Amino acid sequence: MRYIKIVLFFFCLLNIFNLVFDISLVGAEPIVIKVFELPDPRKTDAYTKANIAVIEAFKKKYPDIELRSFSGIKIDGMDLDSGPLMAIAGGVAPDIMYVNFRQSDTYIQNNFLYPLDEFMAREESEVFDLRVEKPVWQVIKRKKKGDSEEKVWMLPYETLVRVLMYRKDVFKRAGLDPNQAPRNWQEFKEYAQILSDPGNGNYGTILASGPQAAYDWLPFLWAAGGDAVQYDQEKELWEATFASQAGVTAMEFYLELTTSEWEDANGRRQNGFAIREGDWGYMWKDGKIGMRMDYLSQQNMSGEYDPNLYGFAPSPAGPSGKGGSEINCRMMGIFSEAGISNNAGLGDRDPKEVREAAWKYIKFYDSEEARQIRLKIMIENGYGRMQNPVFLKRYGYEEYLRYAPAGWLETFQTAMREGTPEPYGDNCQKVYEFMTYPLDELIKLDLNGSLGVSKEERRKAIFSVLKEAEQRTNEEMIGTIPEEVKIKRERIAGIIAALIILTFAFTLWRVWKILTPEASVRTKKNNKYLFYITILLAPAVISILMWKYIPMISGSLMAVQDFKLVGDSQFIGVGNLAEVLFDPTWWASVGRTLYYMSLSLGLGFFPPIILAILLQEVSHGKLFYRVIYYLPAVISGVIVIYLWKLLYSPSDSGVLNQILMSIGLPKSMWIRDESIAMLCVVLPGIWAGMGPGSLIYLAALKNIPNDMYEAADIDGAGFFAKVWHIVLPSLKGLIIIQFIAAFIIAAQSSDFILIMTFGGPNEATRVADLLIFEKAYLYLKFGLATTMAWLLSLLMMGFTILQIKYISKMEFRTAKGDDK
Amino acid sequence: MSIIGKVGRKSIRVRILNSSIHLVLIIGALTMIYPFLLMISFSFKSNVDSTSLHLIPAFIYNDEALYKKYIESRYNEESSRLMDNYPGSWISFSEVSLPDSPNQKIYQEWNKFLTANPPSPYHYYVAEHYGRGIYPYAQRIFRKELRKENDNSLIEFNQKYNTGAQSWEEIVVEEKDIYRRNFVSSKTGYLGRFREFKEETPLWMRYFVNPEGTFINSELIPEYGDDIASFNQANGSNYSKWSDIPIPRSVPEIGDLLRDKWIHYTKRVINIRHLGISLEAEQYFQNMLAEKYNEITTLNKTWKSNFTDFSNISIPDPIPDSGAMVEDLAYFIQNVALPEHLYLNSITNEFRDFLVNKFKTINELNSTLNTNYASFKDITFPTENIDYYNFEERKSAIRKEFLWRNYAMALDQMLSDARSLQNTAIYVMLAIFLAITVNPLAAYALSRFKPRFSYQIILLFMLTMAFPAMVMGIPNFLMLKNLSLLNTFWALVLPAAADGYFIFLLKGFFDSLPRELYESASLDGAGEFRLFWQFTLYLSKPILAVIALGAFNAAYRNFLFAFLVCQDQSMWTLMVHIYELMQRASSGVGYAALVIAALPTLGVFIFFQNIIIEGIVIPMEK
Repeated sequence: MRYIKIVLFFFCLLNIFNLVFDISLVGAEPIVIKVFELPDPRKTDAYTKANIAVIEAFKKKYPDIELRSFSGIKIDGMDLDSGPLMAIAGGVAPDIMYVNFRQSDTYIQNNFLYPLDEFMAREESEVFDLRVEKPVWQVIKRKKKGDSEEKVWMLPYETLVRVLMYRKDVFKRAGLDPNQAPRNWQEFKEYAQILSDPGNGNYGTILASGPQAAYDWLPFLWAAGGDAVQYDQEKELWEATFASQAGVTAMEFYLELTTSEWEDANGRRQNGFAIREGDWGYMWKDGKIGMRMDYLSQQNMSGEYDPNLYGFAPSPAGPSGKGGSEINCRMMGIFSEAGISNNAGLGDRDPKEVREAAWKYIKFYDSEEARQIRLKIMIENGYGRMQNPVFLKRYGYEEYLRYAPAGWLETFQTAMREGTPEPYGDNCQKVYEFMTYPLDELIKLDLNGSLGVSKEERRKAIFSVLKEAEQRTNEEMIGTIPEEVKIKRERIAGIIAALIILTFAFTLWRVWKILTPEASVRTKKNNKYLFYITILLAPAVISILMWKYIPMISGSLMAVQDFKLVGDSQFIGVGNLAEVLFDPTWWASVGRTLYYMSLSLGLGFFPPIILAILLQEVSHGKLFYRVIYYLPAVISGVIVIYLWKLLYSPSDSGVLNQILMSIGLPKSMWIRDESIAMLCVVLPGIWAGMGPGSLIYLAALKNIPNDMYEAADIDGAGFFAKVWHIVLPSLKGLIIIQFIAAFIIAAQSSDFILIMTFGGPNEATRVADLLIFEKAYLYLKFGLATTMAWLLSLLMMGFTILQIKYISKMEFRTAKGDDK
Repeated sequence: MSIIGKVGRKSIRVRILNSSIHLVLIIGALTMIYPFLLMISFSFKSNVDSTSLHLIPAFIYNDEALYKKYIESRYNEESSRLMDNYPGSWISFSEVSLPDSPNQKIYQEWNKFLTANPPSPYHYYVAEHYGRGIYPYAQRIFRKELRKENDNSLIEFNQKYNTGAQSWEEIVVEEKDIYRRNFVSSKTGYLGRFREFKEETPLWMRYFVNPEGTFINSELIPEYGDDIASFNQANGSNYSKWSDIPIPRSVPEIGDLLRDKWIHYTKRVINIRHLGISLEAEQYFQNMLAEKYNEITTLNKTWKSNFTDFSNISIPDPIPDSGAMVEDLAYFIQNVALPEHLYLNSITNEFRDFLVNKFKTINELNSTLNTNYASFKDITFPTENIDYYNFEERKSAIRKEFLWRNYAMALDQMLSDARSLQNTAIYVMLAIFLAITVNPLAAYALSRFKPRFSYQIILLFMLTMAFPAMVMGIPNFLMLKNLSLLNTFWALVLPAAADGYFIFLLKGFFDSLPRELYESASLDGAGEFRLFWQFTLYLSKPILAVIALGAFNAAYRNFLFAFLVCQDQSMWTLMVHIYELMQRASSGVGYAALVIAALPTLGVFIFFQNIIIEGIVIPMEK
């Protein structure tokens, strides 16, 4: 007893000690916040050094805040804007998020940003006057849908305008005045023509291509007096408006730059004065291109561009009399669930403290103090001349002013005055994509010469293409659908929904029936075992309820909601279904899934059966062959995919290409070739599945009684006759059940495709399963994704019934023993 | 037991059949094995030999192939640095060949020269320090030092240097274009720490900046094309190689072909630390400053200096790393200084001075070193000899390095950067443990005690098979999120712990165990626990092994789900890590990682093949 008391006493002492110790630790422990980005130690440029100095100053000022940088995982091939969304879903989002204009709406509507007003109220308003240029306010301070008042959601830390940048040396070489940039469209086109010499790889300017190509059309649209999207104050709605007369004018000019025919010095016919494909980044550095649009930064002006070599000028003025400069900002916002849902690896944090610390960082990062630090470091590293003259003056570096390149500040100010913010309305992170559809189509039409000859004709043709695209944008991006269309769609969706519910109910009912034993179950008096039974069954039952039944119910609910990760989800009935049913991308992906399934079943289902027969019949080396064919099963799927990716390398040095070329065939692009990409994706699975797949048949083959063959021998049957009349009939049941299983598995192919192509090239392998994955985890449209999953499952339900029916009829035996 | 009967084994038709079966199987077997061998072979390769399909990498037996790889790694995979040091001869690493007539004596003189005159960090790069997606030797050493200094804590490192490194992989300094005007070597912070490391490297771990080669590459070759004949024609000379052209130390005479190029190069391109400035220039510099600052106090404020008068200002030697003074000096050199004020202070020039001092006459030098230079001026940068003898002296170490380094990086990544190997081990063990407890226990309860609600429970389990798997994924994920289980092991194992189908299978198996055994054992007084432990589990060992193997495989191979629920780097599993690694590592490292990841499953197959073969469950019609 005494011992126990002593032990207890010490125990208490220890506890008290611990408590005290803990408290002292808590007091000293800094609050950790995760920032989307901190300076990369690998970079040695002056701007990185300047930012390192800013972080250092921040830490000196706030020693109780510890900064960590965000480290997420990314998918090869996904677009940049969706990385943070996946991190939010995955619980690893940073506390301070990076926001740009086009993403801002997605973030605000999904409740991912915490309003900054309460923090800003504490500061003097002039702090923000300096930091936020006038045109930027409309972007950062606005209403969330359903809110009554405007709030500030994010603050810029770098303000940019996209202006005309040109190479003075290239201008000089072509006989142009290196200090005079083109001022209007007419001059811009003339200059571009003078600078263009495609025969020698010289081009006037760059116009982007690819799915975001419209990025380079937008400046012309603005300069012509139009806009991509506009806000209707009365209806409180965004609208796509690029199919205007200004839009047509801008498109005419864009087409002139890209398609107009002319003859170069060598008498060859050329189209346009711009390079759209190819490695133009390198060509620009190499002085092969004269002009491009690029960003001029308020904080850093041109960064490290040498003013002797590069000139900046306002974007050339269009018919509206002004240039179409894009205003953009790098911005920071506080993640609304900072300290709540993103604490992975950081322990428990107090959300309020996290937000306070985050605000301190946001405030400091572009404060006057931070600007002075940056300026000082930039000057020390020899970039004094390239800094913003306003800052140089303000912070006492007047002696650098006279070296400042002429016109940069004016360019910045002009562009800021005339410019338009990058589209930031509903879903605008997709705006370039939607505007590129008509762009690509019109270029194609124009090159075919089918746009018409007279100006009138052309304008009409352009307008009709733009109008159609505008409608599509309104419908699919912004989501404004005419009322009558909406009602019709919802009716159809209602019917389909009823169909899904009925089919699923029928499936459950059939399965229930199949599994219910025919004879009544013999019951036993087993009350004395009830305790054991409960203990033994509990883990499995709880687990099944928790991870199967509850998700089943919540998954069904999600399909009728506009599900939101943060904040309340709205009930929208068949809205999701109506959207999916009339989404061409969805049906295209379902088509691809069917194609994938038919390829993988058609090519992959029979080889294991044939292999099993061959392995059974081969006279020597059975074990040897068996091991070799089993080898691919030894490595896991991910490794198989990478192994094949190596073989598929599309360059001349790719393994398969080297083999093809060595036997005199042309090389192939393999997974980059749209027409065979799907086949390439299917093949590795077949390759790896053949050996292991054959084992089950091999085992079943052993169970065929020998006398059947002997009887056939007596009848004089040959090898193939025996296969046909004895082997296949005996394996029938197994083959059917294997086929059903293979069918159900084949519908789920996303992990292989994710690694192999991520839906590319040009969506050729974007199967339904992958689309669901993207919608859910990359765009966080969980409601829509669940609806899609339900629709796809409708396909499988019949097979599920069959599968369970067969399983219940079968008896399962393990294959014991070898045929030694 | 075979389709081909025992009768007629020797008939021609059967023989043909037999050999065609063999043929088909052999062709198939080749397509099965070849990719594996390629994978292993590629795991030893780097960029320069990644295109060859030889299954045994050539560098193992061939010196030239090894030399190519060494040069590639030595020049940090920067072909422009190779071009600087071998102007006009090689433009890519695949063209590198062993030198025809290396001269060891020159190499020794070079080393003596360096020992006597330690070069500044503006004169050399750290060799074998970086590459595309690989950790070369010097990088590993540097990182090891920093890890040690920071107690292996990246957080501590970031705190110390104010950076946001996310993994140790980022701890490397890629110094590029040291010869260019904009390059600054820093003495403070993390870059200062790198400089310390750089200055301590042994001679073989450095390669040198050759401003003369850069001159040829950036000023001459673009104008005259790759052909030296056109230069010779214009210049009236007869050099056989571009690298033989000596670049004058001071500005060439007016009328000399090189004059304009030399002026452009010294005034605008080359880093000012490779320039010498004559004393006459000082006056011009002072004037420029006086004009710029007007008052000496303004200058002192900006320069943080305390000069009393502009005439006291002199041009410092060596030139400091950064500061307002350096910027003014750079401006001076570019815009004010006369060409005659400048001279090219390349390392080759210093080497020539060293040789002049040592040998006095060129004949003396030629006879000692077995060379035949016409004058000291003709001595060029001995890059061939330096590279070759560095290689010769460390050949076997280099070979070992290339066999090892891809694996070293892959293992370092898996063990320390993301700890994915450890994570996978824990995950697999948890998954196996749950699989052989949760399902068998439930099945046993149902089979042994036959509770009244037995079939309802089985229905509860089996009905889940009708739930569309695709629909389940998303709510499962969101449930884990709401329970704050994301980025924990629970997220990986809990949703898959119980499986209705397995319980069904197991129940069938337990049902088939002889009932009499239980009855007699009960009669002998065995308790329920003993019955379960000693009889049931003992008899079900094979099926439990199958389930354990299945759980192992499912866990080890799990990619997509693990990718979604464990995005945090500290929780990556091996497959997720490989996916991530493949995006940034070089292909050699990627394949080394694949080989490593294939080993556990291969081991399992070798040790448990009987269980795998015997454990195949065949459905049979009742």
